[in-house]
Amino acid sequence: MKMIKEWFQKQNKYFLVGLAMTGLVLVLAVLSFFWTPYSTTSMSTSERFHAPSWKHLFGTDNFGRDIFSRVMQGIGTTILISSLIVLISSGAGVLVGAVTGYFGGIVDEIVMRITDAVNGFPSILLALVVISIMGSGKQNVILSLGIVFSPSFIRIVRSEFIRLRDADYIMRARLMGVRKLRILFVHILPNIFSVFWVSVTIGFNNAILAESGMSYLGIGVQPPDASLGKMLSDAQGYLGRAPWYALAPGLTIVWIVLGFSLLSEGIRRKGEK
Amino acid sequence: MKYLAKKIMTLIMTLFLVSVLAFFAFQIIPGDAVLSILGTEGTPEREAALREELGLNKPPIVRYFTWAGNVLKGDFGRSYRYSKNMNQMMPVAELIGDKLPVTLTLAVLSMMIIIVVAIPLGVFWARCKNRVLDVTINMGTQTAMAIPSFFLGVLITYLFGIALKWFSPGKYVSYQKDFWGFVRYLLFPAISVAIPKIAMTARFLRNSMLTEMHSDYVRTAYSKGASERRVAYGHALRNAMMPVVTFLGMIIAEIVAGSIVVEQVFSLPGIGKLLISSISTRDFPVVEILILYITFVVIFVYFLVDILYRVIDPRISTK
Repeated sequence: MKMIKEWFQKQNKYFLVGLAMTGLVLVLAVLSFFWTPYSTTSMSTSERFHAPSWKHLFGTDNFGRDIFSRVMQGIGTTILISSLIVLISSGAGVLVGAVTGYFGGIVDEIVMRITDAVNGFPSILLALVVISIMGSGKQNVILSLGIVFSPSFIRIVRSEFIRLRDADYIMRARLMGVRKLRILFVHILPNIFSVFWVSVTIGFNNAILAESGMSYLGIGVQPPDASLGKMLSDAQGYLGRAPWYALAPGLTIVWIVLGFSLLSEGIRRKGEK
Repeated sequence: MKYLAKKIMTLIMTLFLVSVLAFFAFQIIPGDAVLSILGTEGTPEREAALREELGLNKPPIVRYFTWAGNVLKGDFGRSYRYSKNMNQMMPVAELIGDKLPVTLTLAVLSMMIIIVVAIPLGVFWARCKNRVLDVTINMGTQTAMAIPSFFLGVLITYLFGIALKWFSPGKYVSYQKDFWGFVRYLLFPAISVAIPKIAMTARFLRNSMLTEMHSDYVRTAYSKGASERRVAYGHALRNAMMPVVTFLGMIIAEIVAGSIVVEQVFSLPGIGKLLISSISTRDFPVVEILILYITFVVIFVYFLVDILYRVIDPRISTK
């Protein structure tokens, strides 16, 4: 007990609130793969447009489906997709950033020019280009956003590797004849984690916003997969009659994004101390 | 001058690269445009004739140069999906022509709202000593940045459109018919584009101001007896605005992209809506031109910001 209390006192408020908010989201996301309060597909004409109540926490939609269950499923899809996007882009970031940052040279120069060019553009536009070439669908959303978000990770990892490559302890390791691969991933990589986690949480945010935006536009996740963006665009037609239908997925997106940004702010402040 | 020439050269090179990418990216897609246009009415003769007409029987490199040459001359090609009349395909230029003013007006309106609100807010926040107010603005901007623009659009539609009835959602007013009605309708999409950017700009300006307020010249200004107000607006703001100019430049690029989504929310017949529908119907000549156009706007804005930056602050070396 004492240890837990001490741990809590050591953390800053941003980190704790962010952790609580994202924690709830992650629990709901995992839970949604096994269980939702109601079936997400069963329709009922007698239960159309019920306002939020204890029976239906977020109310029901135009088909009489329970919105809370569908939001849960949407969170599951969104979190799964965003995790894969972050995995792809941060993986590419670590590999490419480590090599270009540590070795430099002409490859570094070329990669930097490309990332500069990509970074300058609004990510949704680039993703749209990739989608229009590959076609819409879940896999293509993951792949296109994974590609689009890689450059920002590459830049961050690269600059950290450049900062550390001439540090004394790395020089010493090199003199001792440690293999290059080991220097890169055993000696340097663990030391960039504090910066890396901040960019992972920001990456999560961007991935969630981009994914739900594309689903809203109808070129992202396709039915029958539930997605928060798609729900919001469906709900827009019933805004006058059932405002809670639009509020539920919308506020959920805001909650998730806010949670991750508080978390990243918290991690950043911890790193500064 | 040498710097300007170099910048212009880079600008042209980038545009060339983008045009090559935009053109060839759409050549590798599986599927034959001719077959998809003709659909079930295709006969080998009609296919060959259409292929000839669209120049699709030539090798890609030749087609690129024909296409690029035509674009430079102002001929943007023809849409695969929209037709002008029974046997004529709609020129892309005409298709884009009447949608451009919508997107441009939206962008200009949003930018105006951002500048008018964000700059006073940022300065006020930097000078604010009331802790409660400080925390409130902090939380407010943090939340505003977490709201996706399309949800903000839906909220604004509900609040101003359905609850307060200040505008009728979905009833777009054409600028040819009633210009002020058009601006009035666009005001609400512009607000949805602007709010998250206002939060970002205000936060950025505040940090920039706080850094400036600790510098030597501010202390000197105070010791001369200048009032706090005068120091903030007359001395610190001008210097604090430097990085904000670059930031606002980047925001323009974001507005252009953000309007793609917001146009969909308010069903505005602009460039973004055309882009989305062209992507869904795989109308590639339109997509190519739109990508080229948006890229051009983004690159050109960055170019202008770069130049402007050096005009405002001659200290920046032109190396």
